[in-house]
Amino acid sequence: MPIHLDDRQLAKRLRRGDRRAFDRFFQDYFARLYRFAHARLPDDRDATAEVVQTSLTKAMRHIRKYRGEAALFTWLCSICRNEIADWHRRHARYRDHVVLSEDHPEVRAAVESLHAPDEAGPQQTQQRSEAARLIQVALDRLPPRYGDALEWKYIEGRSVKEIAGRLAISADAAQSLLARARRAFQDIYAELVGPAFGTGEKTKQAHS
Amino acid sequence: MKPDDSAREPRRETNPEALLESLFSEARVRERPPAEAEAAIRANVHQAWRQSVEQHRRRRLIAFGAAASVLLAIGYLAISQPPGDGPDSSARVERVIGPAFAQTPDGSSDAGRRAIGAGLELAPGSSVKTAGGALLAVRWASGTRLRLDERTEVILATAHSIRLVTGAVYVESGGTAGAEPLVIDTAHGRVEPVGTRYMTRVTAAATIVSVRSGAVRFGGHADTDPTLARSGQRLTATDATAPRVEPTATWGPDWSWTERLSPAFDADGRSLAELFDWVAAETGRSVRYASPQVRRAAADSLLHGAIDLEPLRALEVAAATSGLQVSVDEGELRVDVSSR
Repeated sequence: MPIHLDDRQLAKRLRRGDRRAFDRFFQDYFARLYRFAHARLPDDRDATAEVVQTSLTKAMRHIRKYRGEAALFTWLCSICRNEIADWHRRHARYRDHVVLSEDHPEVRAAVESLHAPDEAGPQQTQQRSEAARLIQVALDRLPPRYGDALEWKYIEGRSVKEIAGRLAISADAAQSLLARARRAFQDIYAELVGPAFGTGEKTKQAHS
Repeated sequence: MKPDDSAREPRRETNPEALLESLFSEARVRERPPAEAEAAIRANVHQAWRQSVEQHRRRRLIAFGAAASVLLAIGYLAISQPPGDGPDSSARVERVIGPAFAQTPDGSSDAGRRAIGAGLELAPGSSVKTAGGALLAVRWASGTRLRLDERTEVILATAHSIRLVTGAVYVESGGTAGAEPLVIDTAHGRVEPVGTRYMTRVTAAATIVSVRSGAVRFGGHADTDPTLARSGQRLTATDATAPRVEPTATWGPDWSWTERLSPAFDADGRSLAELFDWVAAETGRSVRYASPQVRRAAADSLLHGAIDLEPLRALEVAAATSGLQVSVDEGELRVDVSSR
């Protein structure tokens, strides 16, 4: 997956002061990082904005330190995690600490061990809601074009032709991109939900 | 396989397309961040990026020779300040909470205004506006500090005078010896401080000046004799009546927004007593020690690092580890030995 190469190239252009690189960086990463932060500060949009701004500002100041060993989004998320932790320390007010399964594998393991009842109930609804949330998390972890293409196709129901138009590529190239995006999504989603994904078993449980 | 076994066995979807369609059937489109927040954050991050690029370029040029770097530094100053203005005339943004916008004197910016970020220099003549829920703190080289409440609009006419169009500002006069005080013009008159901390609020009907420390002189447009308001007094001026002065508290809910913009307290090497004095100044209160021994204990307790918390929270955090307890009783911070 050529993600890190692209990211290194983008970082290099940012260091040089390339204005279009900045535009692309902000377009590709701001909304994703905002959602990452907001999931961890769900009842405070001001705090989310503050943390995201500080994280991106720090990233710009330290862009020279980005080596490309991890994806740029992963690097940004690690900065953002620290800022969120600092924010909690500074404000030191009691907050419902949001525990996200992707941050805590032991939580994921506990969720996986729950057996869904036969009839639909609060637990089913919760699992369905969690599955929907993790889809969004997985989409955000993909390269932006992959995440956008999958969202347009499977959530908004757009045709391949429309997607090709939006990405300014041919229909064949769009099909090829969607195929790569699906594979990438499956890898990431499987990491988030555990080994049950890919067999349809968990999906059937969540949707029954 | 028995028929009832196969009925219980889950059907495994292996077609990737069908699998994803099934999975995505419950998903929603990812949420977009609020547009106003996006614009403000983008402006701030862009500024940080530009500063980082410029700093790196300057460091590289210094490596190529001192003469070249001096020329670059002169050029950079010329770009960032209008000709004819000294470096001290611009205000620097110290802190911003929420969306705030500035318009340069020549009106040249995208869509007529730009979002404000910390570190931004505001040239004389700039107009500044805070959105609902937003707060802003700026500082001049003279040391004078200005804090803006939400929904406030000011025009930074010069380094020594501003026009408060609407909303509220809190002024802390500069510490530099001989510094000219900041004058505030409003629709109802002019507020001139005499070494002080005060708040001015403008509504459609009135200008209200609340003085925390020092004094301010207020001259209405029709007045020949200005009215003086001192520490613990509030002056209310309208178009219809002469300015009225009455007692007011120097602490409490009307002032609380200013505490969210308190500058960080550089605690390193300073005593707990100095921290208490700072909290008292920032919250409009006085410090009262239970005994001379408690006062000595506060003076002897040394702090380390910087504290970037709102004043009353900083008090709790610092006192917690000192063996002292501080209680807030209306206008007093009462310091005693901890009962724990």
